[in-house]
Amino acid sequence: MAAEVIKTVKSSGGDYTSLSAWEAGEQGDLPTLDEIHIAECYNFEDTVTVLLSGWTTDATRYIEIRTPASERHDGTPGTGYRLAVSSYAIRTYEDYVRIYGIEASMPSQNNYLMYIHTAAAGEIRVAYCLLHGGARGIDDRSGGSGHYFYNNIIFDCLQGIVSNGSNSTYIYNNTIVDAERGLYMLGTATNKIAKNNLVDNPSIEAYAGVFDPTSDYNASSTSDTTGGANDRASQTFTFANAAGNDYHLASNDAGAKDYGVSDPGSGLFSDDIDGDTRSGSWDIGADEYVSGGPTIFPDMWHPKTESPYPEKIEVVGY
Amino acid sequence: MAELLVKAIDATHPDPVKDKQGCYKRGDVVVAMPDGHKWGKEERLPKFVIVKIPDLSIASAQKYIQEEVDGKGEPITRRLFQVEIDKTPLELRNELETKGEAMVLWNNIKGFVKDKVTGAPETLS
Repeated sequence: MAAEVIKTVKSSGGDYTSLSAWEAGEQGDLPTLDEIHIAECYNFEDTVTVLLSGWTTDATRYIEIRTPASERHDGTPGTGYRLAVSSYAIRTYEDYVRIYGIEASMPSQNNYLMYIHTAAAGEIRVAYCLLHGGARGIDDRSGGSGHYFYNNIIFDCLQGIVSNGSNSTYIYNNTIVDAERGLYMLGTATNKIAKNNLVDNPSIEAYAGVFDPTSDYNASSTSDTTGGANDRASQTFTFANAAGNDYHLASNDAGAKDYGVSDPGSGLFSDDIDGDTRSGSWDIGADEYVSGGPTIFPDMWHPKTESPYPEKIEVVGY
Repeated sequence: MAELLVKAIDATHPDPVKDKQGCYKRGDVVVAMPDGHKWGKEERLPKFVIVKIPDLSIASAQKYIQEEVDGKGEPITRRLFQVEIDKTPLELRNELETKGEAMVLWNNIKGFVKDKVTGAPETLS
């Protein structure tokens, strides 16, 4: 089993002071090293754009960028590690990359926040991220072997998630608000499977392009859908504090709560953007409503990693 | 006013295209930070050296972290400019290679900051 090489990215006192410097310092041939290289990002504003390129990776020796639970956003801007950039936040030309729990933003929608190049031919995951202000939240151009985008909140982007490659793409439980288009499947897109996504207030359309016929349980505030029998068009969603960019579901939401399908990823994940365990009929979107507010569990999606952080952090007031 | 984190060793890739496009090389400026920046534990030798330039503004320093790109904006190499560490005056070079950092005035190093495309040394005052 590959060894994990974990380096911290902190404003001070860590291994690196920017994610970009981590990438420059840790570039390598991971299969030969038999290592997984992990950047663990702590709560501060990092202003340097990141390019993942010049590595060798494979399915079990990959690049991982993540935040410890205590350093992760709480679903609202400015609450955890964040890439605040004027151009791309993270571009990947590498095949096997996982990005978890990052906030990324730019002020003027002039470029893509998460950009996956055609050269990225393997498995890519972007999950638990808070993406806002970009031309596209996620722009996927790859022909890779499987790309997974789940439990992300994306707002104030021109497009939420765009898939423009020939790869199989799995888009589950994302919340996309105030975009021109929510999910946008371009060109020759095939095998684009979308389930449990929530698109609110798109200025053009919620779901554009061709989706795989198994796509279902997607909701929108407009009349368009992915074509699934259980899609929910023309819904009204109620969020905890939309004016404050808090897109957790409110207790009185009647558009998304309990209307999703359970376990759309067949075991890929079982929690929401906050780490709350999903149960019953899952809620549509990135948040699973829980009474008393979201609960953040440390490294829920990295159970193999020992965490030095408290067992449970409760955020109240939702 | 600016401190430059400069790659001290080459990264390499067996694919020459990936090597050129993606691998940082010795002398590439990775990031620029303001004076007094507290660098991380890995941001030093053997991977990096730090060049402190008190009369170079952080805004001007951003020029040296730009990529060399093609007409479509795709990266050709990681950095358009390179600090020619091995050509710097012996005293400066010794300081970088032993202490991993050095302070130098812009006029005393800009002639060793090379545009990789033209091969010309930097002339920015």
